[in-house]
Amino acid sequence: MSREPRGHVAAPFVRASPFEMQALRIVRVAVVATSLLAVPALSAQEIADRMTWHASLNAGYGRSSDLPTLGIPLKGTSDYRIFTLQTRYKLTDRDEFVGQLLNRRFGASPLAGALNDVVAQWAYWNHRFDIGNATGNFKAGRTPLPRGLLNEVRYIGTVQPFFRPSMEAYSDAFDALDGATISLRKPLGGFAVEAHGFFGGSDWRSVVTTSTGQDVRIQRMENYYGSQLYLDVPFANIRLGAHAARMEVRTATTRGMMTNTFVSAQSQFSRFTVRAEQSNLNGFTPSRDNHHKYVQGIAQVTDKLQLAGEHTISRSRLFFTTPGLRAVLPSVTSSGAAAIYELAPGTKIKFEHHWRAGYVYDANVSTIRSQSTSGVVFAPERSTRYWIASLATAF
Amino acid sequence: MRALVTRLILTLACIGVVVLPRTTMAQGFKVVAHPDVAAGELTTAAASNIFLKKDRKFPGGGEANAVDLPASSPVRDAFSKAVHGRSTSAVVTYWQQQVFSGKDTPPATKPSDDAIIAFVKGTPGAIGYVSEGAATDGVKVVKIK
Repeated sequence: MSREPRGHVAAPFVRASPFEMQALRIVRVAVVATSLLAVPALSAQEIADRMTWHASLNAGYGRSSDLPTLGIPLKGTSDYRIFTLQTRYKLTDRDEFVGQLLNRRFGASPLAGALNDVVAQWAYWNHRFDIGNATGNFKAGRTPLPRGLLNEVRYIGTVQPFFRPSMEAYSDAFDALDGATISLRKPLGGFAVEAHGFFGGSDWRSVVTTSTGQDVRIQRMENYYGSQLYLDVPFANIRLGAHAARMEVRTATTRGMMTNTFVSAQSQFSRFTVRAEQSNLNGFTPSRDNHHKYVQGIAQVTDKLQLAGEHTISRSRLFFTTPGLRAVLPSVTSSGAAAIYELAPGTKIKFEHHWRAGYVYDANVSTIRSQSTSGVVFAPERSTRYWIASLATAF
Repeated sequence: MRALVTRLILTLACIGVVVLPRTTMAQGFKVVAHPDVAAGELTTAAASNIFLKKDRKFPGGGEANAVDLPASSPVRDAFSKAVHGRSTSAVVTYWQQQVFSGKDTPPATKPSDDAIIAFVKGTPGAIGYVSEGAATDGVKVVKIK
């Protein structure tokens, strides 16, 4: 496994202006004064009353039939788990500190070696404000990143029909933002509009197949900015979403801009939930052009039992040095089915089975059989089946 | 053989009585609010938005502070189905989505009708619900239409 440098560049020393120095001094004094005045005045009981704790566990056992994929080897793995521990400390009715620790085990995936056992997934200050009948939030620190319908809850098994949302659409990337997010939700009759804007930096972890094997790459995206819009429609609980973000990628050898877009639609009616999303990731000098889409359906069969199905398609454009030569690789085509049984409110057991075809696995598979100036012939697609039995609980 | 089958049926029946989820009798509820709350009635949509914290204010103004019974309460189940149009489990899942997306936390939970009444009586803007037969001295009963 090799890790690419994160592209951190030493910032040149910049002398702050007198105004900035003054502002910094005021902030420092305010922080110290708040610490001295507020904290000692609180009793242990008051501090306990201001704190809330939440936790979630998503633990599974998986086995694959023909090729290892998504961390699931042929011999099976029980090293497949996501645990989060969230704490909130309420400073005032409108301000709170939120921290969330994440423990993630990713089976036999090459990415597993790049994951720390415990990381601070979130650490932010949240300020709530109102503008007329609209409610807003300002978050600063390491914050959730609004991206599609499921990015913020991608690790929470109780709110998903499968172990995780589509890995192709969401990637092992952009699960938090080091920076700031501002959000506003405004009711408009029966409709509601929710808008988020953000700026900061984020990480992207990926596995790249090379001639010598598979490399894990952790790339740092800086100057990451964009917005997510949602429209809630007062019919069949329809939610529509659109996300667009630009980010700067820096590695030791390359530098460029990338764009990520998400288009989402979701509806909950009677006993059914249907959602579909398309994600595009392209740019970076400009050798990347990936398109992912999935559709997911969930049926509430009884009060305790749900059945779910999902179909995912992922396509990647390949770029060659030969002028005019382009090819679109059918990188992943995947279908899944799941049965979810609720043991108690907030606790579920799931059994899911997936059929996967394409070229993206935790092992090297041939992609191109032959290449000439006139075109590219792909190697035959490989396929595997895998299943996961899991327990999801949260409080 | 017949005795064995009879015993097996009796055993399964006992397991069914003890282990399988029992159907609860539908229970009524009434919504109660702090006496200072201006609203005397709420639509189901307005009540749902307040208890899901989609609206933080009452339709006529004033900050709302909702309080819930525990998820295991049959009264909460009746309230969830009548007001939110979904089961308590679905509402619990909604709150998990809110909590773990960093958006919001669920309303405070009180263990009984008495605790709800005491909280609502002592908290300006508070709104909760109790079983239909609960005493509501000192709080305002809000009609849901």
